[in-house]
Parts: sequence; C-alpha cells; structure tokens
Amino acid sequence: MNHKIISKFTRYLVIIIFLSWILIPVLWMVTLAFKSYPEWRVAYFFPKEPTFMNFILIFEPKQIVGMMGATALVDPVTLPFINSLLVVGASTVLSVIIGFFTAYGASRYNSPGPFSLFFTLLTRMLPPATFVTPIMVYYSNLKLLDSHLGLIMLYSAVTVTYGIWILKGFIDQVPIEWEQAALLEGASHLQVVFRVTLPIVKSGLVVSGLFIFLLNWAELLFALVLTNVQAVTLPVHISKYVGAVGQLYGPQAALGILSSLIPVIIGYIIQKHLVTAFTFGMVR
Amino acid sequence: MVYLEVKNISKKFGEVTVLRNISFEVNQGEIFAIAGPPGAGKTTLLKILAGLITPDEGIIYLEGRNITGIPPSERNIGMVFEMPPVYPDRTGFENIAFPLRLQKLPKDHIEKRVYEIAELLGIKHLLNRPPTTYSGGEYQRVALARALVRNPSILLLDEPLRNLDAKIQESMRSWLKRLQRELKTTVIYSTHDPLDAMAIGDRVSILIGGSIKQLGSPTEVYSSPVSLEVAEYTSIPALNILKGKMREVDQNLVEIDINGILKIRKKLIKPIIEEFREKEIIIGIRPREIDISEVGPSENTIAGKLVLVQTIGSENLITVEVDKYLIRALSKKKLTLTEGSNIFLTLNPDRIYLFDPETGAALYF
Amino acid sequence: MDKLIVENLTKRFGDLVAVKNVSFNIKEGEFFSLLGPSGCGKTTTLRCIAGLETPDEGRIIIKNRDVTRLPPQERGVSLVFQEFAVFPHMTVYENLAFGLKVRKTPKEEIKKKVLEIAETLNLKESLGKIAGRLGLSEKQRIALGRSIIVEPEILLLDEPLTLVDAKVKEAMRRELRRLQRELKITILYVTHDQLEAMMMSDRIAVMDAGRILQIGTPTEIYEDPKKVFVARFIGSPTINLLESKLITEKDEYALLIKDTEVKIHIGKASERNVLSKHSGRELVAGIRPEDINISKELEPGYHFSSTIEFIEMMGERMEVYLKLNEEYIRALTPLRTDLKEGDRVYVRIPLDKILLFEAGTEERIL
Repeated sequence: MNHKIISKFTRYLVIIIFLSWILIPVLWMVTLAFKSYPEWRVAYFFPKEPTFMNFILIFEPKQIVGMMGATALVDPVTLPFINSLLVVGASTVLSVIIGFFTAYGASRYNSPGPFSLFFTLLTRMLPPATFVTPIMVYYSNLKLLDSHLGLIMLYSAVTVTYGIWILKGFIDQVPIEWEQAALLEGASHLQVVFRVTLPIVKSGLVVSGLFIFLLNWAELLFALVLTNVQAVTLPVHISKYVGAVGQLYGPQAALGILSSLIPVIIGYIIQKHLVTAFTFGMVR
Repeated sequence: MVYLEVKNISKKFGEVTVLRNISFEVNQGEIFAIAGPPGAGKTTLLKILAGLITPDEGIIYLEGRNITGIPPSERNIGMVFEMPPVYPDRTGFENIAFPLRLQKLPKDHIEKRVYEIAELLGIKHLLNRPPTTYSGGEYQRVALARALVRNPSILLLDEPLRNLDAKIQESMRSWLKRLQRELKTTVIYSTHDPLDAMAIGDRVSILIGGSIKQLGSPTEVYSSPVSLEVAEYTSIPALNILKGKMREVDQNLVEIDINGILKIRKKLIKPIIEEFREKEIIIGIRPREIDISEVGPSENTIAGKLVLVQTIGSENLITVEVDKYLIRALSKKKLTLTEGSNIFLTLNPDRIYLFDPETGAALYF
Repeated sequence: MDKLIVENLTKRFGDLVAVKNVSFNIKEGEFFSLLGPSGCGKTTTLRCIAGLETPDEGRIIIKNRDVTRLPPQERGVSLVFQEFAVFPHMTVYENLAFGLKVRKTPKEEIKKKVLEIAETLNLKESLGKIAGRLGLSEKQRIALGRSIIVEPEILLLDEPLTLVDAKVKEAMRRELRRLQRELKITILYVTHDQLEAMMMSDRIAVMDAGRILQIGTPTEIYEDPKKVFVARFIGSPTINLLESKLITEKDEYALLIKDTEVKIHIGKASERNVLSKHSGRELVAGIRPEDINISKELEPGYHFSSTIEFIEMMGERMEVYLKLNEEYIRALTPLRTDLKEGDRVYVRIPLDKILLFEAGTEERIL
C-alpha cells in the first residue's frame, strides 16, 4: 500500500513540475498584457492596476524609442492579422484539397510509382533555411515578393505533405468494397470519391486542416524573408516588436495573446474531432 | 430456366492462377451456393460476376445477354461483400437509398421503395439510426436491403454470415432462405463452411483451388462425393482417411484390408475390381457412419482406446486410438465409458467411400 | 483444489454495468468456458481476471492468492487473443522462447522446454522458420505455445477461433481439448459459440447481460437448463419454444399450445405434483428439434399433424420446418428420402424430453 501512495505522489509531483515549466511563462505573458507601463518590469504576477491599454496600443502605429535612442516605426497589428488569416486560411484549404486527392490516388491506385509517394516527404526533410534563398530569387524574378499569392503557394507546397499523409491513413481505412458497391450501383469514379469516400473521412479532413493551419500560423522564416509591407504576417509583425529596439513588453504580451487566440481555439476543436477520428472504425 | 451461364472463366493474379476454367449455370429463383476453403477463389469469382474484376478468359451470360465486358453498374447485380457497404456517417435510410439517389430517381419514389424494402426485411426501426448503433445481424440486413432496393436480377452474397455470432448465423440463414423464397430473387451465396452451403443452397458447388470439383444438390454432393478432396471438404467433423488393399473374394465381392486392423467385405462392380485388385486404395469414412459400442467385437468391428469424448448436445464426438491412427466417430448413444477405456467401432461396408490413391477420384459401386 | 475463485465481480463502464455480481470457481486442470452472446460481459470478465481491467467490486483469487489489485504480469495468467500474438520477424523457436527469456530462464532450460512444447504442438519441423511467413494454423499453435510454455496458473483464451474457417475450427477444437487434457492445463475460455463451449469444456457458465445464468457440465446445461435463455442458447438447431397453457382434462395435465387446438398430454395429475400450482397458467414448452418424431403414417400417440413447409439439408441430417399456425416447429431427422416439402406428416413428441418453463420468470419447472 505504501509503495502505491509514494508512486502516485511522485507521479503527480512530476506532472506538476512539468506543467509549471510550461504554464508559468504563459501565465506571465497573460498577466503582463494587462499591466501598464510602470508595471512592465516588475517581479510579481498580477497587475495592481489592470488596464486594457496594451491592447489598444497594438492597433495604433507607434513610434518606439528603444535602447540607446534607436527608433522604429511599428504598424498596427490589423493588417498582419488579416494577412495571416488570409494566407494561412487559403493555403490550408489548398493543402487539404490537393492532399485529399493525392492521398486518394495513392491509397486506391498504387500511384504514383512505388518511390514517388516518398518524395512528398522531402519537402519536410530539408531544413527550410536551405531553400529560402533560391525561393527569394525566384520570387523576385516573378514579382511574387511581398505578395499574398507567393506566400500561399509556398505554404501550400510545404504543408500539402501533411495533408497527404494524414488523409491517406484515413482513406486506407475505408474498405475498398464500400466504393466497389457504389460502382456496382452506377456511380462514376468521381461520384464515388465525393459521395462515398469524402463524407466518410470528414473528420480526417478536419483534423488535417486544423493541424496544417496551426503549422502555417506560426511560420516565421519564409514570411520574414519574402514579405515586406503588404503581405506581412503576424509572426513577422511580432518579431519586429521583439528586436533591439522593442522594449515594449506590455504590447508584446498583448500581441502574444492575440496571436495565440486562434491556435488555442483550434487546438480545442481538434481535440474533440480527434476523438471521432480515432473511433472511426468498423462496426462489429 | 437458365438464368446465369458462366463459361470457362479463368483469372490469374501475376503468377498465381486463382480461377481455372470455371463453368456453371444458375437457374432462375434458386439459391446457388459456392463452398470452398479460404483462398479457393470464391470472392474473386463473385467479383468477376459483378464486373469488378475482369476475367482473363471466359464469358458470362445473364438472362441470355452477354455481360462479360459490361461495366458493373449496367449489370443490375446486387452484391453484399464481406465488408458490407453500410456507411457509418449516415442513417440507415440514407444507406439504403444511396443506389436510388445515384440513379436520380424522384424523392417520393425513393422514400416509398426504401420503406417497402425495410418493411420486408424487418428493419424499419433502423432507418433513422446511424450504423454505429446496429447489432451484427441488423448491419447485415441493412446491407442486404441496400442490395435489394434496386430489384437486381441476381444477388451475390459473399460470406454474408461471417462476422455474426454463431447463434445469429443460424437464425439469419433460415431467415435469408425464407426471404428468398418470398422474393424469388436468384441468389449466389459463397461460404467457407460446407454445412452452411448445404443448408442454404438449392444446389451447391464445391470450389477448391480455383476449380469447381463438384456441383449438384446438397444431398448429391454430400452422399456421393466424386473425389477424396470433396469428401474431405464436406466432412465436419473431419473425415477418417485410411489406407487399404483390395482382394477379390468372389464375383463382385472384395475384401478390403484396412491398414491391417480390419478386413471388410464390400460389393463392387467388376471394372473397379479389375483395376484395383491387389492395389492400394484410400478409404474414407464419415464419423457419423461409424457405430460405437461398449461391448465386444462383432462383424466389421475394430477395437480401440478411447482418447477423447466431446459432447455436442445429444451426440458424442469421440476420438479413438486404433493402432497408431486416430479415428473419429459421432454417435447419439449415451456413453458410460471414460477416456482411456476400450471401445468398439463398427463400420458399415455400404457407407465407406473408396478412392483412387493417385487421382483421388471416388470409386463407385 | 480451486485454481480460480471469482467472487461478486462487478464492472461498470460509465452507466453501463458490463459485469454484474459474477461469481464462479474453476478447479485445477479444468476447462471452463464463459459462454454468451456478444455484449454479455464474458470478455470483460476475462479481462478483469487477466488484470487488464480493474473491477469496481469483487475479488479474484488465483491459487489462494488475492490478485485483484495486482498487475497482469504478477498474476500467473497467460492470455491468448483472437488476433494471436506472434512476432512475425522472429523464428518459431525465438517466439516460443520469448516468454522464458524475459523471465531470465537459463538457456538450457529454455531449449528443453521449447523442444517439448514444439513436439506437442507439432511445430518441431518449423522451429527454424520465420513465423510471419507461416499459415494461420501454425501461427495459432505458436501463439498457444507461447502462452503455455511459461506455465501459467491459468490460460485465458478470448474467442481465439472466431477468425478461423469452419474446417480448421473443428480440428482445433479437438486438438485444443486433447492438448489441455494431456498437459493438464487450467483453462478459462470465452466464446459465443455454444458448440465450441460444449465440445471443449468440463463446465460452462452461460452469461447474458452481465450475469451468469447457469453453470454446469455441457450435458447438464443441455439436458437441464434452468432458464429459457439457456435452453434457447444451447443446442443447434435452436430449441422449439411453444407458448402454451397448462390445462386439466379428466384427471390428466395437458399443454394446450397457443392459438392451436393441439393438446399434449403430459401425465396424470396425481403423478405430477410439481405442476399443481401452475395449473391454468401460461407456460413455455421447450422441445429440441432432435427429439421430435416425424412419421408419414398415422401412428397412435401422435400429437398433431402438419405440413412440411421447408427442408434445410445439413449433411447427414435434415431440418424440417413444420407449420403450426403462425409459427414453425423445427424437427431434426437423419437424411430421409421420403420427406418432401408439402408432405403431410404426423408429429409425436416424447414426453420425457419436454422442458417446461414458467412464462413470466422463464424459470424451469419440469
């Protein structure tokens, strides 16, 4: 009995330590966002005089005076936020759609050839840093720098891999006889895909979509290099705040909350769908 | 009336020949059962009939029409596979209505037809529920409803009872047979269980290793197997297989020496006697054809040691050790003996099968 | 000696009570089966005994040790599933040796035991082969061998033959029983197939909806079922159950079959005291198909005549469906060529084979 109590205690202790490691900084960020300027550099958590000031600040253009007198002009977060939504949203949709059809082909037709499906993983094997420069050159020539289209294309190309692999797993689980039955009943191959397979792997689409969205939302490197003014995304915008210049801790924290808002909501939704996704099995 | 005619169907997958020269006919309104061990080619054959797989050779005629090259959707065939097409993401109604919706039939017609078939199959209560709530038997019936809703010319059932509880298999099979009687649909039913095939089929074909080894009424196939292979396959409990030598005693009478443990006399026709005298033959005896007795030897009796007694309701399946062989017998007799004691097995010379050791063909008398 | 004692086992999953107050004992060297339809709680019970589930109430005692709170590896049980556990990339030898290696058994002993088990299971020639490439039957024997070789107190089997085809199943049922008797292993076997349970078990516990309805030898359960459910679940083809009323005619009891004129006299009132309190009440009469006599000629003592609606051929026997108003009575007879669908026949039911149950409680009376 004793032995059991001790092991339970240690387990909980470990869990608490772990969670604290992760959650305490988050808590700090959340409380920081509500602190006004004098309180930005204090050592306690909860603000004595909470304020929404930071949230307003991030929406206004600011002249920042930082260390050593250097200045920078920071734009309101509105544009980057909208850009992120647009770019990430579009590339997610594209990744899922292309991913679905590719996965379907891979699952049902043994096509492409035996090694090709493997190549789709390559995009994820190369460190992005290795090909960001060539891309920049291409984009420069194609006038795609600082464009939404450019980013969307790139993001889609990179994350479509996830779409393919996640969805292939789901599609593989749909017995081929279910599609053959529909063929027997007069469905064309296209109808089979849209009226049989697609509805059944619905939860797979949601899961892959949400997963890809999260990945792209946090993407910094490409956006940093390939955007400038117009297509600036949220991560890039945040990085500007956190520079040699920016000591605007409060607004930074507010930005942190703003940009985490969407992933947190998505993470919550994913969780519920993951359950249905995994119980997608045979009826006995 | 010959409804379905299958001629010389062959199919190879890579190097492996899965079906070899399959030919048979199915009459309208009958249940045609195809029985065979796993891997015999049953599913492949059914998929070829459905049009999902193209045969390498052969022709299929349905109602006189050559349907060999025709795509599955135009054959008007209903099929229930081993993974019955009941989609988990929609209600029973939607599942059954699916084929009708594909044909773009008017809404009220679809509704009427679905309710009709659901009524017939006793599954109206499942129409508004998702398949995740169905029991095994209900699942099969919804799949069946879907296959029948289009009024197919012929219904192909690929081991439909496989995933069901033993007891439910029994009731489903009877139910299926009675349903078919009512609907008069022509059915091809495949199964790995020979008893299942014989119980449900009006005629039965035995498919082993890609060829049809025998075809006939259940009684024919069971009582008069044409080969050792068929006799062995249709025997549950397993056939007793022994070797023996034949010696001519009189005109049309031989004495068969079974493994040195028993000499049994049997009437045979002259040609067989001439061909096999003094040669080795194979003897097959079904467990149920062996009589057991606890007391002393009499004619055609072997003595052995009781190794295993297994009760099956009103009958006993016993395994007896005779010399170095194990012989199985099935009997209704009540046994007072325990394992390890001596027991006597009596063979009926009219009920033993003789087979040619080289070809496996049955020697008929 | 009792190898396994299960006391008042209860297991809930949320609102669902999967196992309700289940108690039974298994003796050393016994083949004991839990038999019941899907969802009756037999697998959950097995899993509790194996240690894969923790019961909400009750105790599990293996060889006088209370193992209720112990993890699976400390209970001395071995479990064989439907999807049998065979390491595909290892040889048969390595597979069989695995359990012993994990227990740090000396090499010499491992070799001895593996050879022994391989001999019994007819795997000696396959010892060097890669397990993944072998057929179903071999794989099963390997899985079985793996679980037997560690000499568990109890071998637990969870519907291991469900995925196997009919002919191999039949052979396995004999082999498994023989093996069990030879090696004197204590086995707890779970199945939904009553034929399987009957063929292999020393005793069977019939379960439904989380409860044990009856425990007995195969013969006891077949001849002496205590509830309608048990009578209906055991025996193939399924028993005929006729709703009837117990009436008195002259000084004899008779069963009046519902919606018919058919009366089956079952004996003098004076001789059947146990029936006296049920007089006039509704009863369920159970008659097994194999007990029914059919004759084409009018014989004295027949109970009713009927038309053959249907015949199902079952190899050496036939199941004959006879119409009795709205329902069917099924009779099992040896293969006869004189009976055809549409024939009129005379039916006689041997009185000593009738099982009577009270209609409401479904309890057995006679």
